[in-house]
Amino acid sequence: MTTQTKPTPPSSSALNLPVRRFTVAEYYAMAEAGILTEDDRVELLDGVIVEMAPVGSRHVGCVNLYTRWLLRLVEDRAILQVQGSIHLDDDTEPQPDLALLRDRPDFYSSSHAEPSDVLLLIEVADSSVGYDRNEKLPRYAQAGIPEVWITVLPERIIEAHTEPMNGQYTHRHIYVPGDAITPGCFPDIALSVSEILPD
Amino acid sequence: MPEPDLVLLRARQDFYRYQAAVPDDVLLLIEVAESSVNYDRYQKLPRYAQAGITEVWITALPERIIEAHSEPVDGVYTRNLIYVPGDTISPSALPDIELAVSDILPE
Repeated sequence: MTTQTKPTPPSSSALNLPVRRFTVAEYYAMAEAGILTEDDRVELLDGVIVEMAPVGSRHVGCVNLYTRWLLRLVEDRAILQVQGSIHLDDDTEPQPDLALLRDRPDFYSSSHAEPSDVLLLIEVADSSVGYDRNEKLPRYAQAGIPEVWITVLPERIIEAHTEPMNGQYTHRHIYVPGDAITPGCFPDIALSVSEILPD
Repeated sequence: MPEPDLVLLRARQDFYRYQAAVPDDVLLLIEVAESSVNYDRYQKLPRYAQAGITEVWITALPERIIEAHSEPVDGVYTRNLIYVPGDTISPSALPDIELAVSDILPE
């Protein structure tokens, strides 16, 4: 991987002090030791363990709708991973809401998906839209994830970000209820935005 | 409020957008355990039984088994079965579907 300037890491607003960053290996050692449990909703961003906002039912319902439609439309052509980790690099392992992954015989049981495995990432944002846009999106672009959809519940829109270049998505398209949205990886499928974001 | 690995919920028009699932909505709850199997068995399972969740599968990866716990009575599951690769397993709420344990827990 080429060395590029990383986006500003998530920071605590209270303290502007240097932090001790963890690697993915140390992060897993914490889970192994029981410091983090599988019920902790956390993700690792630039070595910082970030607690994810508790999800409300609106968020859960939207993830359920995506799950229903993507499984139906994509069938066995890809693996749909719901709220699982993606290994971006040695100190960044976010947990997007949904990921469409390249089909792999082990179903990603021997190692987490890496950027080259990812066909499409989907985030669902209620109050977390700033975090998704400003913290996670640049990291996905940096890693070369080809397509990210940020689903903004309060605004009832899906922002599709594509064509990552130098750590930024160079193409953005906004979809509203009434539109159909097609992922670049499966041009033959179309999701109805109103099915995903009903009234 | 626990976050199990997977849940099969009763079909509901709103896809659970308006209200989170409650124990009554749960047809089957599945936990997948690597190092956390005792936490799942001794901390989470009694709570699921207490809440009246009808069926829980604990998938123990190191042992390559699925423990199916059902028929909760007074906070304890009274029917406990172990499935190994070669078996098929059916959720009691959906008796017409069958999963091959070896498909879920390949070598």
